[in-house]
Formats: sequence, structure tokens, C-alpha cells
Amino acid sequence: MEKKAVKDFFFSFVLIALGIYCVIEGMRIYRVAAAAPYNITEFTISPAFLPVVLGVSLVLCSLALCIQSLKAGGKRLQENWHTYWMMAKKGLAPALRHRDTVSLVVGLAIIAVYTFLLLGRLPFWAASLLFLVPLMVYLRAAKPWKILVVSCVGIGLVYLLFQVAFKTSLP
Amino acid sequence: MISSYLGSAILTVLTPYNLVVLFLATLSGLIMGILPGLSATMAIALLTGLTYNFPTQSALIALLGVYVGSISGGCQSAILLNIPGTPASAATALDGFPLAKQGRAGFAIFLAETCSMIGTIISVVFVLTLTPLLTSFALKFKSWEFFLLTIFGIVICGTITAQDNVLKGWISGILGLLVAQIGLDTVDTFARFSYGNVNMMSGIALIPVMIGLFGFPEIAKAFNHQEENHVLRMSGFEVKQGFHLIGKHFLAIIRSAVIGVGVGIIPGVGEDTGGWLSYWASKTNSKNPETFGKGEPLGVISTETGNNACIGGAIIPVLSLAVPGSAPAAVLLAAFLMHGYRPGPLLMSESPAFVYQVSIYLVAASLAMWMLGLLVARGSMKLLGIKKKILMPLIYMLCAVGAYLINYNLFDVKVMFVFGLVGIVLSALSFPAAPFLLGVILGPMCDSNLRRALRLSDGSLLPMFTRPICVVFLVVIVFMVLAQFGVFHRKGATAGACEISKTENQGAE
Repeated sequence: MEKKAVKDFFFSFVLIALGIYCVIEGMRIYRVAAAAPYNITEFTISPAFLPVVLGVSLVLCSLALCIQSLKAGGKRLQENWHTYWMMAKKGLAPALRHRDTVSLVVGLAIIAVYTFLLLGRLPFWAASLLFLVPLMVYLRAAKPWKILVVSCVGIGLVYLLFQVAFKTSLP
Repeated sequence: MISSYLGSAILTVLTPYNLVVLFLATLSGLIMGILPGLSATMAIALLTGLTYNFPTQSALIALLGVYVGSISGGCQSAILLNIPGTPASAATALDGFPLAKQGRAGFAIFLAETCSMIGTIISVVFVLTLTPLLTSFALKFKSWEFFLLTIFGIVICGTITAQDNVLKGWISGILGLLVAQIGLDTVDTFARFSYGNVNMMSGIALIPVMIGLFGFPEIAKAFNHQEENHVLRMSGFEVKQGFHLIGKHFLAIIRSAVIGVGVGIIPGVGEDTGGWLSYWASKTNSKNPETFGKGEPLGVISTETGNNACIGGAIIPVLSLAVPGSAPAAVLLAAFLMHGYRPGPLLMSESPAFVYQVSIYLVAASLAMWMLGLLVARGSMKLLGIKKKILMPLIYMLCAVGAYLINYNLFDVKVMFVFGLVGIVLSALSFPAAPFLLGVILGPMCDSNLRRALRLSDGSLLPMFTRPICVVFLVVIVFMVLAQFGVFHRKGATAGACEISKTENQGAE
């Protein structure tokens, strides 16, 4: 219960910041749209109107979430706001060191390399092979030869379905 | 005359060639629907090119087969993997996946496929009877009504999908609406939140967002060291109990089908909204609403009936107004035009048989989908039941291909990755992803209609409070928001939202 309240408490600040940014960016859009060539001076018909409304709504909802998390945190947290920070600090270090977290970060890094670096620079089959094999090996999904076979069959089927049957071009 | 049209359409579909086309197309649709990231829209778009050289009737059968197959197929991955194959099946995952976790995946798939078929067939009745009539109601919807409809959709979706705190559902919806603001606005072509990036100016495509939000948290679970192997265990279809349950909930099925058709008729609002609204209606009317989200079969029944009934509903405005009711219907409209049909107000006088042909082919496709859906269920179970550490990297590759094929643009693959991270954060903090997705879907409709309405009223919000349909929407929205903040709570307004939240949290624990 307390853990959840702490998470909500801190995330509500991120959301409030995002909402404020949307309002500020909305006001910038309004100023630009009010000038030539758009000349939209009426705020309600400006392209900034909905982003500002949504930004304000996000701030209000996030404030409500923040207040709720404070009230739901129980007496210990309500009496001392500092406790929130202490709990977050206390919980953060073990969470970051947890092997699932490390595994998640490494896995996402391999996916990011495939998405941002390999795709488009190498042929699809090569990029996918360079992605699938290391990721499955890291996850210890199966024996290496099995991983290689599965990867090749998977890539082959994708080629067959999209390139041959549907005549589409792959990245 | 009508019977001769219907008879002729039945004979056409029963020719061996067309039967083969029907089953192959429906199977392709099912596979596309089952595989996360490959949407119904994409399935129809891909098949349209392939059917270019087909005889027109066979092409029509193939297109409708793939449409029905792909919308229904999405339920299988939603149930087996908790990743909706298509946005239409997002609500199916809420109860389908818990059922699969309880070892009743086969039962959930049987319910989903059977109700998909029933939903499609009921919607065909509406196609046949209401095509000339019902569109008049949709025509009454002007900009203000469409704007409020989108807000209504977000509020409902946020309310029903938030597990512990409704605020999180609404925040998720607002975030989705904000994402939809990225790019050139549809009224003045003003670039918002684009930062000079040409790709951002064209807006954020829906499919990469959907794949990222729903697919990534599941893919990320494969990185955990403790894998739940028992989750994906195939069970029998429990046919007898399934039919018994369907019979027991027949009124809910009819209600879901009517909701689905109604939502489908409204242009731009697609199968996903139909599924969510049907789910919400069943949950609201249930004596045990607390069982929803924990493996309640009625959740699967209503969602699948509702989203498949949208198929017929979405086709009604295509046929009578040449206005698509949903994104897949928009591609279908383009395919009709490519094959020489001219849907629209003159269709009934120019090609009176067309409506009946479409109706019969839809029924045939739904029957084929039901048979194939159950036949491939074990195969898809095997396909999706492979060790997650092997399957998920392969699924990510498919997701990347799916995201890329929307616009043949690698930017969409990157967008998918970014929204995948967003999905992981939302999932970790118990924020539902569905309202976010709905916000992205409805955002352009919300913005363009609000802006158009405000332009017509010289920036005044007053007309929103004077139009009868708007007033109904406003009252319902305000009622729902106030109800969540405990205004109508017995203890009175002082109890506030926190009390409600506390109670819910305690209940959840």
C-alpha cells in the first residue's frame, strides 16, 4: 500500500511537469498561430486550444492523484513527507540491482540496437539474425544450435509471407 | 426480388473456387489477426493488391473473409498472450487472459470465436434491414456530437479499465489524446509538437503505438528469470458448457451486438470502441461486476460479440454513404472502388444486388471464421505457447515488420520502441494502456470536430449546451465523473474520491 502510494506520489510530479510543458508549448503554438500567415487570434479556434485544455486536464488529474497518494499512504507517510523520499531511496537501489531489472535493461538495449542501428543499415535477414541470436543466447532460451535454427526458420517464414506471398518490401 | 438476390449470392459463394477463396482468405485474416501487430486494416490492404486479378465476386468474398478473420483472430493472442492481435480485441484480454491463466484457454477461445460469429451474423441482419434507414441517425451527428462522443469514449474506457484508481484511466486517456496532437492539425495544417521533424509532422501512426503499448510489456516479461510456463496450457473447448453459457447470456449478446452495430455505423469509431462499450455495458449490468477483469466469461462474450458486430455496422455507412465506419472499412471502401463498385446513395438503384451479396458473403465468412478459428486454435496455442524467451524475440521482429509496413517507414519502428517503453512504465505503475490507445485513435476526430465546431460558432462553446444529443452526452459524462468522485455516495460529497480510492485499494489487496 505504502509502496504504491510512493510510486504514485512521485509519478504524479512527472505528469504535472508534462502537463505544464503542454500548456507552455500550447501557448507558444497560440502565439505562432496568431502571427502571419495563420493570423488565428481567437484562442478557442487556435490549434493551441485542445493541447492547452488537455495540458490543464492532465495537471488537474495528476494533482488529484498526488493528493490521493498522500492520503492513501497512511499515517506514517502523512505525518512526514520526507518519508516518501526516504522510502523511494530505500526501494530504488535494490530494485536497480535486481537481476530482473538488469536483464530487462540489457534486453531492451539489444532491442534498441536492432531498432535504431541495424534495421535499415543491413539487409533485413542480416539485421534480424544479429538481433535474434544474441538476444536468445543472452536469455538462455535454448541450445545455441536450436536458437540458430529457430532464428533462420522465423526469418525465412517472414520472408516467405511478406516478400513472396504479399509482395511487400521488408526494411 | 430480394430472395433471388440472396439465392444468387448463396450459389456464388458455394462454387468450389469461391469456397477455396473464402477459406484461404479467412485463414489469412485469422493468422494476421492472431499475430500481434498485424492489424485488420493491414490485412485488407495487403489482400486488396493480391485480389486485383480476381473475378469481382471472388475478390469481394476474399476481402470480406479477411476482414472478418482478422477482427476475430485478434482474440486468440489476446487470450493466450495478453497481447491483443488487433485493437478490436484489447478488451478481450481483460478476461480472456485470466481465463487462460486459470487453464481455460480453450474455453475462452471457443466463447470468443462463437460469439464473434454470432456478432457478425446479427450485424448482417442490420446490414440488410437498416442500411437505408439507420444512416439517417448517424447523419444527425455533427461536429459537436462527434467531439463529445470521443470524450465519452475516453471517460468510459478509462473508467472500466482502471483496476485500482479511475484517475489513472483518465490520465492515460489524456496522454493518448496528447500524443494524437503531434503533427499537422487537420484544420489549419499547423505543425504541433513536431520540432521541425518531417516524420513527426505527419503524426504518430496508430499501429506502432498499439504494438508498443500492448506488445512491449509482454515482451519485457520474457526477460524475467521466473517464467510462468503453466499459463499457456491448452484446455478443451468445453463446447457444451460454452453453448450453455452463450444461451444463458443471449440477452447480453443481443445487447452487445446492437452496441457494436451502433458504434460501427458512426463514422470513424471502430471495432475497438464497440468492444469496449459492449464490455462496459455488460459489466455495468452484471450482478457481479467485481468478477470482470478476473476471468469472467461474459467479458469475453460481450467484447467479441460487440467488436464483430461492428463489422456489419461499419459496412452500413460504407454501402449507403460511402463513408467508412472504421479504419478497416475505409480500406474495404477503397477495395470496392478498385473492383468497380460505387458505394453510396445511388448503390441501391445502380447495383441493388450488392447489399445482399455483401450480407451473404459476411455470413459465409463468419461461418468459415468460426470453423477455422477453432481448428487453428490448437495450432496457434502451439505457435504462441512456445517458450516466451524464444517466442518474444520473434514476435518483436514481427512487430517491427508490422510497424514498418504501415508506411514503409523505419520511423514507425522507432515510434513503436518509444511507446513500448511508455507501455512498460504505464504497466509498472498500474496505468491502463487501453485508454491511452483509444486517445490516440480518437484524438484526430476529437480535435478536428472541436475546432470545426468552434469555427462555425465563432469560438463560442454555447452550441454544445443547446444540442439535444450533446446534452445527453454531457449529462452522462458529468454523471460518470462525479460518480467516481463519490458525489453520489451515501456518505455525501465530503467522502470524496480518496475514500473511494481507499476502499478500492483495500478491496484489491
